[in-house]
Parts: sequence; structure tokens; C-alpha cells
Amino acid sequence: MSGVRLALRAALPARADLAALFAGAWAGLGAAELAARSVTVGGESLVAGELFDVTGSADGTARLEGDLRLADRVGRELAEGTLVVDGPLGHEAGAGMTGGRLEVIGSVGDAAGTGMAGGTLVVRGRAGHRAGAALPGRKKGMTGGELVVFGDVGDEAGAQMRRGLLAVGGSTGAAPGFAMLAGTLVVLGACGTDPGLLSKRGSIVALGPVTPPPTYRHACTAPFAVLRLVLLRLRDRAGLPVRPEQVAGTYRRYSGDFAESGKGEILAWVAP
Amino acid sequence: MRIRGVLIEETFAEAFTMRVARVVITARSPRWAREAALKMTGFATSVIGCKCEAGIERELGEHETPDGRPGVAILFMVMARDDLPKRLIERIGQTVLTCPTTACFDGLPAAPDRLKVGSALRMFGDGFQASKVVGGERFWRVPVMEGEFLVQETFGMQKGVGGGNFLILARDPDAALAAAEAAVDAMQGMPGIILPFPGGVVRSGSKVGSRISKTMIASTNDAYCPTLRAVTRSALPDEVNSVLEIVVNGVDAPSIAASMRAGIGAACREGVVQISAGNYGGKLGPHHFHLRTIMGEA
Repeated sequence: MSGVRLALRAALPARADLAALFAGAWAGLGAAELAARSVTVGGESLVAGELFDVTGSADGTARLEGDLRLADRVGRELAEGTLVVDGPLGHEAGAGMTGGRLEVIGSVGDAAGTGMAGGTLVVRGRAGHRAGAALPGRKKGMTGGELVVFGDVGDEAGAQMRRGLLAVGGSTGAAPGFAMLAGTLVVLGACGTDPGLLSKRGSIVALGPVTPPPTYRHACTAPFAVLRLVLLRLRDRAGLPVRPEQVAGTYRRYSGDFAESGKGEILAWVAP
Repeated sequence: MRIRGVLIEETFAEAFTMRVARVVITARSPRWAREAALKMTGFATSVIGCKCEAGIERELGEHETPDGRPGVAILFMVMARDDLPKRLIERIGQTVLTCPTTACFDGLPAAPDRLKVGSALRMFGDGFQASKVVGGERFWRVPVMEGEFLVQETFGMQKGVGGGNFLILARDPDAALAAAEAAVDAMQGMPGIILPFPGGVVRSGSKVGSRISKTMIASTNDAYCPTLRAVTRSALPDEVNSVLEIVVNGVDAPSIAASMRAGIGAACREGVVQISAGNYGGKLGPHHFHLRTIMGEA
């Protein structure tokens, strides 16, 4: 990838807020323009060029390099372009994204992809709590887009999701899909306790161990054509290790949460 | 112009602009995909009597379908754009939704005109239906006794071409049928076309209007009926005793031309005297497929 390269000059001394770096229209900006964008470190305002060596030319892509685990809100409200982060990130990575693609070749902190409305966020490592959930003070979590985490996620992944697809290659913490309004959460590993608690219409697809809450009822065991679409997409587009027998397999369908409307579901793969 | 001794008449096939959708039906096995496709494309030979024209474009392998199952691609055509969603809803609702294990997808994803087909069929779910958005496309999950019927919310519509044709003029019925079968074998499965008539062949080519009825919009093409040679203005050479027509519809004119080239080439065989084509003097249809031009490109 050519494009603009932002290499961290020195370890961050305090938490940094990089929300403005790729907000709005940025894909047409070259190194000088991106270097002039504002960031904050420890509450102090700087320009990006003071933190990063910024090189390259505009082609709709950018690459961030260095240990950015203290860098929060990278790609917040990202709307365009492709941003690759070669290393870990802090909290709220890709929060509020509406378009474009953010790929993190590392792990991220809490609240990754919270409130996403579009675009694609890929995390090659782990994600913290409330991935794809609602932004603080908001009623709805993801309302669109795709969030793919190859590793484990923390608690309340996909909480209050309204639309969109959240896929977890590893296992989840407690209460995945808590109070989902709709949308799809796919978990390749083990689902944490109380999956789909208080879900209204969401779908949780469990390819690994899962224990539905007592407020769910078993409906049937059957193949589901829609799962073929979802799982093939995750395998072929995202590269998640979905197995053929999972694509073609049968699933136990549990309806719930009957503490709510009961229109949600947990689809648990039945290993042959 | 002659091909293997068969005269290629200097004439053209006159075809019309139609509206086309491509419907992809998948199922657990090729058998059930084909069952649904055959039902959906049944009684769909001509808009004159069937309100639509449809046929199987080709069978699809597992790697070619959205859900990774065996499938069949259908081209479905009407004259007026407003008719297409109505006919699709009727046919998919009665023949695909009802067929075990099937799912139904749009095969023209790039077409900007979108028809609300799945969003109408979802109502069969009586409020129990649910939708899923996958890759930016919405699909409806309609609960049925077998499990779930999955149908895409919208189907693409684009302009197509209907009524490409050629006539096989032969010395006897056996030669005409053998040539027609060879033509169909050469054309079937070519991309972007269908042969909507039985086995791809028409024995009852028609002319516009009627001599004896003001209400009939089409009647037998007496100029090409061997039995009427003595009582009408016949277009048939003396040695011709049987005529069969191949009608081809497609997504665009080049697809039709390519299939006609293959079909005519295969039909030029022993017992065939001449290849002709049906037209209306060029005044009705905007697409003219000149036989010699088509075959000259071969």
C-alpha cells in the first residue's frame, strides 16, 4: 500500500485522542495536510506532525505505525478511505464509523466500533469490552457496517446493536448481545454467560459452546439458509476460519428473550 | 451466402426491447433447484398468451451462488416495466416459495432499477418474518412449515431483447426437427440468453393480426405453412415441406447475436434448404439481426 504513512516518533507519554485525525474528508489529503490535523496528548493540543513522521502522498489510504495502545478514538466517525494500523490501539477505535475501512493489525481497547453505522472495522487481535455496543448515552449500538474481531472480546459485545454484523473469531466475555434490538452477532468461540439477555430481535449465531438464558425457548433444529450467506461472507470476505460443516450445518434455534418480545434468537451450531 | 449448402436468406430477425430480471434459485440439491426453475418458467413462452417469457439460462455450481448451494439462473421478461414485479411476485410466490429447500436471489445486482419482490413476498410470513442485511443487501426469512424460505428483498431490472429468431426451412419434418435440436443444443447454456419455447423450438410461428378476427393479435404464419402453399402467398421454396422456428431472448443484443450465430451454424445440415427469419418490415422492433451479417462474423 502506498498512500500516507504516519510513523510514531516516540512512545506516547499519556493517553492521546486522535479522533480528529481521520474525521470527515481525509482520503484526498497528502502528508502535509494530515500532519497539520489536530490531536491531543494528555489533554494538550498538538498537530499530528509533532507525534508522527508523516510521509507519502494521497491515494485514499493511510498507515499508522508504532505502539498506539494509548491512542484512543482512532478512526472515530471514519467515513471514507482505508486506514491500516500496524500495532495495537486504545479505546473507541472506529467508534461511530459511517464508511471506509479500518484494519488494526493488533488488539484494541474497549468500545471498538461502538455506534458504527457503516464501513468495515477489522481487528486482527483482541477487543476489549462493549465492542460494537452503544456509545455512552446512546440507545443503539451498531446500526450498520461490519465489525470483525479475530480474537476474543470482552463483556457486552454488541450490546444494544440495531443493525449490522459483529463477528468474533474467539470467545466473548459476559452478556454478548445484551439488549440487542436487531442485527447479527456471530461467535466462533465460546459465548460468555447470559448471551442475548433482554434481546428484542437480534440474532446470535454460536458456533462454539453457548448456554442460552432461561428466558429463551428451544424452537427447532434445522439448517438456515440465511446463515450460509452470513458465514460464507465471513469466511470468504473477512477470512475467519469458518468450517464447511458449520456453513452447511444444522442449528438449534432458541427464541427469546421472553423477558422482552421474544423475537430474538440464538442459533447454536450442532456439531456432527 | 451458403453454409454447407444451406442458403442463408438476406433478411433479418426483428426483435423488441423488453424488461428482464435474472432470478437465481438455489436448493439443497440440483434436483430441487431445477424443479422450482421448471415450475417458475412453465407457461412462459410468449407475452401474447402468458404475460411473460421465461426460461432457464443455465445451471449454477455451488461456487457461483450466494449461499454456496447448487442453483439455476432464470431470465424472466415482460414488455412493460410495471408488469415485472407483479409477475415475479406471482411466480416466485407460487413456485419457489412452495418448493422444498429453495432460496431465491437477485441475479442482476448491478442493475439500478430495483423491484420490491422479497419485500412483498415476506407478507406470507404473517408478521413472523424477519430480515437480515448481509453485505448491504436485505434478505427476508419467511417461516414455512419446512423451515425458512429466504428471498432477497429487491431484484434488479434492466432492458433486454426479446424475439430474436430464425426459421429452419427443411425438406421434411424429420430434417427440420433434427436441425432445430442441433441448434438448441448449440445455443442452450450460452450466457445471457434463453429459449422460452418448448425445447427451445416453435412450430407455430405467427403473423401479426388475423384474416378472420379483429380481436386476435396473432395468427398462423400462413406464408410459411407448407400445407397452405397452394392457397396462400407462400414464402417457401418448392422443396420445403416443414419449417421450425427458434426464438431467443436475452439480456442484450450481442448475446442474442452470438447465440443465433451458434444456432444457425448448427442448423445448417443435411435436409435443410434455407435459413430465414421473422420480421415486420423493420417497423415494429428496434433490434434487427441480419442473418448474413451475423454469420459473416463467424
